[in-house]
Amino acid sequence: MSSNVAIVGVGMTRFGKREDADVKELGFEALKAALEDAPNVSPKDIEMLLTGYAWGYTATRNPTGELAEYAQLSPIPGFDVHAQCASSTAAVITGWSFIRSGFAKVVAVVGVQKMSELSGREVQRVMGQSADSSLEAPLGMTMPTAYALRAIAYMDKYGATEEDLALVRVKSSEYASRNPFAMFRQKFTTEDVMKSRPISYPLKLLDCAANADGAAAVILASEEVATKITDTPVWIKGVGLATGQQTVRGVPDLTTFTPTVEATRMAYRNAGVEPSQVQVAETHDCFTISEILDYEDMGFFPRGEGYRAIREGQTYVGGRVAVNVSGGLLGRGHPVGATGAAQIFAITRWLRGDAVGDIRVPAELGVAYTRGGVGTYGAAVVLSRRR
Amino acid sequence: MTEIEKFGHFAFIRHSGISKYVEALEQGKLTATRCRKCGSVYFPPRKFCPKCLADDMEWIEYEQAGEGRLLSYSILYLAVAGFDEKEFPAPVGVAQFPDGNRVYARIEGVAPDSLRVGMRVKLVPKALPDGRVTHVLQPA
Ligand SMILES: [Zn+2]
Repeated sequence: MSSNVAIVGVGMTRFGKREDADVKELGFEALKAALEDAPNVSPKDIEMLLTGYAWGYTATRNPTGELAEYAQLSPIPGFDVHAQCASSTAAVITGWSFIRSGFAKVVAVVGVQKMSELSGREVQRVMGQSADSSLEAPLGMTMPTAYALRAIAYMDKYGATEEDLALVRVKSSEYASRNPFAMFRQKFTTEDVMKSRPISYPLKLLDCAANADGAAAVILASEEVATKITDTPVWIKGVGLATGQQTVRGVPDLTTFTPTVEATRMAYRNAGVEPSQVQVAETHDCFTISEILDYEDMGFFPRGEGYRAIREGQTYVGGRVAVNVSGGLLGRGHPVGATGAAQIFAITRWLRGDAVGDIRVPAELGVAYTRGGVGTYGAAVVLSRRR
Repeated sequence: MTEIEKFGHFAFIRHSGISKYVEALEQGKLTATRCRKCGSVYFPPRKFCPKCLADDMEWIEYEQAGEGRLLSYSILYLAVAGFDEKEFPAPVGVAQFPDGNRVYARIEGVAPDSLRVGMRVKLVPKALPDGRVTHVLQPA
């Protein structure tokens, strides 16, 4: 008999450059915060540990094993879950599935990344490896370029402008300035974004999320356990996963991310909800253009109208749907493996009625969506206060 | 250097089932593969046929069958492995040929501010310094 699964504790570290901690220490810091947040869950109750982590961005090869030893959780089952930037969302879905199957009742998921350990040269190589390694990466394809190609195709098709993209960063910086976990606390204007240095036209430095160090943790429990230990469980109503394309030449339509469409559609269907019911969303704004495409791919706004939504302020708190009002990847910083768990951290707190910094979002239904690679993986989780 | 290591400006892999593509570029030719079992033609070439699962490919010269169109473009400013900042700004793009095949490549012979979605382009083999080779998009 499969069980409903609830989130019973969340925690995260400050994101940014963290020279005071290594991977296992960052992971422990987030796990400790999640355990302190989870009433009546102690380390000995954890039956399984999963780590969302993107190998290659950090020297540590075995984050789950290191953290299990350091947190004195060994010998419980555990392993790393890797789906690039979607790693910890995929890890939460893996934990959900182990609880649904009856294998475990309480699973801890930690997303962690420490990117500041790599030298500039190493980061460049890893960035190159993020594209098709045989025929595209050798020509200088990088993450920003993969998204820049999307931006030009979108702007050409619908008439959006570089200023529209900049508005996404203006919103992110507004909320990040109020989020103590965020890497960038300063507010930016459209002009700041437009004047930042070019990276891959039309994307400029402030159109791009930054590499960061950080960790976030989520404690999952079966319905039987969750209803006993907490009055404020947040339920995982539906999950969705998809793969897309690693090559840019293989993308059927550059104005949409198929893994976003497919993973969120699957999650909505499993949850029995429509995108129009979603009140708060954390999406994968690795670049400003990504958030606008997410608005459309996730079903919040019709095709070609995403840029109008940001112009009209429809994705601020109080608008049609609050999107990335934690500051998002742009404002929070993007420690690849930790991002999905940080999204779930924010939505869980809002659905419980808690704040992130001083940011509150009145909502009963939310969705976290994380995209890995250059549109290679998609992972979505629909969360609700109602079972 | 293995054949595939010669492709482009920087090598990320050493072995590939489509090394013959690079050999042909060195001879100034663009090649595709055709599945001997189901007849499907692949450009860029593939070692395996996903439609019928065969691995019996014939190497043929790739005819662009008319002009390609630029689906999108960008201009690189950020130094990545294997690139010299002196090369920047460097235009790149994705083009589609009349047969539906697509390719990502650097763009030559177009001023960055003249780049437009839909512009006519063709793909041509090109030798690079140090024994390397690539394909580039040029105005058709
Ligand atoms: Zn075949």
